[in-house]
Amino acid sequence: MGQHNNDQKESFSLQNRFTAYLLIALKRKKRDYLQKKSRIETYEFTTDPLSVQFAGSPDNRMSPAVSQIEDDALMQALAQLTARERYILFQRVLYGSEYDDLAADLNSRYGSIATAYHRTIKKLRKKLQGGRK
Amino acid sequence: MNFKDILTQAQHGSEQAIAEVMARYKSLLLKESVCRGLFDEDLYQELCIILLNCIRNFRI
Repeated sequence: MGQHNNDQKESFSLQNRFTAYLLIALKRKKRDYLQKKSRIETYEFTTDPLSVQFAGSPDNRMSPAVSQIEDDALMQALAQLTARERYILFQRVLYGSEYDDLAADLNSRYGSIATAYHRTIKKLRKKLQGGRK
Repeated sequence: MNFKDILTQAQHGSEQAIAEVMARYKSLLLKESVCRGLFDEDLYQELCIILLNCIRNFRI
């Protein structure tokens, strides 16, 4: 019986070691995979940004306004922003939301929302000027 | 059959044992394959490959 117990204990500890080993490998792979994916998302954009980028966005209210945009350069610049940046931008520009409301909405602080908004505007300007050369 | 035997057999190339290990760890792999709240099939496949590599490389 004692022997059997020891065997079982050893097997469990082996399984624990294997699980720990596997978990580390999984975490690394996942990190690499996500990094690669986000890199691809940053540098490449789909030919139809509307269908992909905005379909899954948390706020679908922005869609009608966005579909009115006919400027391709602006469309591409918008597609390159992150979902959070786009959300802040649209809420601020199209619906005139206050930073305070947005901060509460996104679980963030006034300052970081304001900074994010101004950076987004700056980014858009830079991209649009770059495209106009 | 305890885990050590299964793992040993899997390392020696028994497909049944490998399938058993895969079945035991499937839920973990599924959990890890969720990214931004969505199940990512590509990621799941990558993680399955990692599991197979781990079975082969693990030193008992």
